[in-house]
Amino acid sequence: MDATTMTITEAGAALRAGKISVRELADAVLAQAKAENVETNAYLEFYDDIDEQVAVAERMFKEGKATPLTGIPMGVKDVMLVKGKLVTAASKILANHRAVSDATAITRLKASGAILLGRTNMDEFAMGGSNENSAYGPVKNPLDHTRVPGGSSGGSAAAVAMGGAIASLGSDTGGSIRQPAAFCGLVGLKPTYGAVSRYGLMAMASSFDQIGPFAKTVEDVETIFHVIGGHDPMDSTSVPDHHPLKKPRAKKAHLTIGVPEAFVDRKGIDPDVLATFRAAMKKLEAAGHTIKKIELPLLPYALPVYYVLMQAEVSSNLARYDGMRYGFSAEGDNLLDVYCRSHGLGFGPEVRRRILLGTYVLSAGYYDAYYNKAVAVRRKITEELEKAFGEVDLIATPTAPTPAWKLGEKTADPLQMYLEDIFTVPANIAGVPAMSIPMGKVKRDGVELPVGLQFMAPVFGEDLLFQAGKDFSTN
Amino acid sequence: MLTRADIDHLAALARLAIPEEEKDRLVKDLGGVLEYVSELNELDIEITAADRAGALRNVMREDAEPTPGGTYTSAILENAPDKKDGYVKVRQIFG
Repeated sequence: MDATTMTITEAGAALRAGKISVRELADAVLAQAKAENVETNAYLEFYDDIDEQVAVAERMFKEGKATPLTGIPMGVKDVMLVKGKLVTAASKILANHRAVSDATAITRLKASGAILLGRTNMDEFAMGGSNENSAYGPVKNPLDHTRVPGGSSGGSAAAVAMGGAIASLGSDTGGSIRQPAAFCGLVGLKPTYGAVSRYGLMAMASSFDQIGPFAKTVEDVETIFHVIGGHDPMDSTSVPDHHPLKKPRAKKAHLTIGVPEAFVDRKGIDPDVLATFRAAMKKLEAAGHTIKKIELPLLPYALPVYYVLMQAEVSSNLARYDGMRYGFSAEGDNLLDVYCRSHGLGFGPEVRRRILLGTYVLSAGYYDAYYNKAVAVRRKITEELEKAFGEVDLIATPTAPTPAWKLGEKTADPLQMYLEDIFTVPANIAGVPAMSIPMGKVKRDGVELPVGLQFMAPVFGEDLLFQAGKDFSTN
Repeated sequence: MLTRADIDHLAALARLAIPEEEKDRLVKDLGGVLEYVSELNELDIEITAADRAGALRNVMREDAEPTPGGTYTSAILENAPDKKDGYVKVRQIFG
């Protein structure tokens, strides 16, 4: 029995049957994480209270209070607060920052008895698609160390892919869970906007950010989603549990899956990724689902909308790191000088680039042309997707246009990296849930690299994602 | 087209010190992204009053049961770069 390859379901069954103890499971996964981490840099820190966490989980089993996550070793993206622990957003500006309280998602994981092994590497303040923007060094893809793991939640994906966690939490603003899940051969879920509390998640772009899980199977992702989801009065964007949008849908045996053909078969998509996607659609059809070609003419504009609104929100959100109340503070001649130097020295190049772009689109004279225009197009895209969900249950695309690329390959031109988000961004624009599942492999330099299939669902249609995802994975 | 002067202006607005040697690269990078997002101008979509105002809703709570004073004070102050007598110490604001 190899603990490092287990799913949550398998590990949970083994723990309940007494085939493995909480201690043995945690030790095995932690040992694997530490060994692999030397090369991958997936974890920034292993927590020092794992013994205490193991004791809590053991007690839960003894007292008959175990949950499906009790004793499951997990990694946490370094952007969520875990009380008393360092939390840096992989930035120098927060190098010594210690969390004063727990994020709600963390509170719920702790209550479920999960074992938090440590905090995982990421692009600084979740800005990037390759994990090369971390102030603490890039993460390497465990499946091919010359390639990126995707980003921004690259460490959370790599931790699971290398057997150094059974599951993990990430955050997704424009694809930061789904794209690394695709690159590392995992399942990754971006829940509906408002499904999982962001209390205690450092804000990047607040109208897009969501916390979500990484795991090896759809079933595991579903398990975590039900633990961390649900209303939280501490997050004003969290949707109340009795809200009509959350009413369960009647279950259908066969789903209608829309494929926005013109959007998928586009310039820049890797031919092997496209072929794998076509095969995936055939497989879903063979499983009894209906594949329907749909027109979504505004969808290609989701990316420019995102790169206006996200930058604007970034520039506002990151103004809080002023070098006064917390975080790095530079010496300066006066107050203004302290602000400028603290920001300049504390933030890395990509963060600074986005702050400047956000400042530009929000500045007098450009506000209407960029920001308000993007808000209007966002509304139209959301309406277009809502209308599409009147005809289809799900929308399918590849998760990313290419498999994992080489470290350093796309760092010279930020726009090239941004274009990789083309398929993931629409779900954040419209606030709908989306999930990436492995759909096959493509060969590059003799290495089999995984590629992801993305399903998008209407708001609070996570059940549809899980249904289609399980069907695809088991057929 | 952006210029180095634009970068200086944005950096001042954003309270961000930018090293001289990075400015040419920023002119190029920001220019490239702005050109790309200008694709949005192809679309004939009207900006409504609601777009300008944003979708606002109030989330209220009872103004009751405050956290007892001092619960988080020492932990929060631990993170402050400079402090004195239980306060965060900042630079002089009025000259």
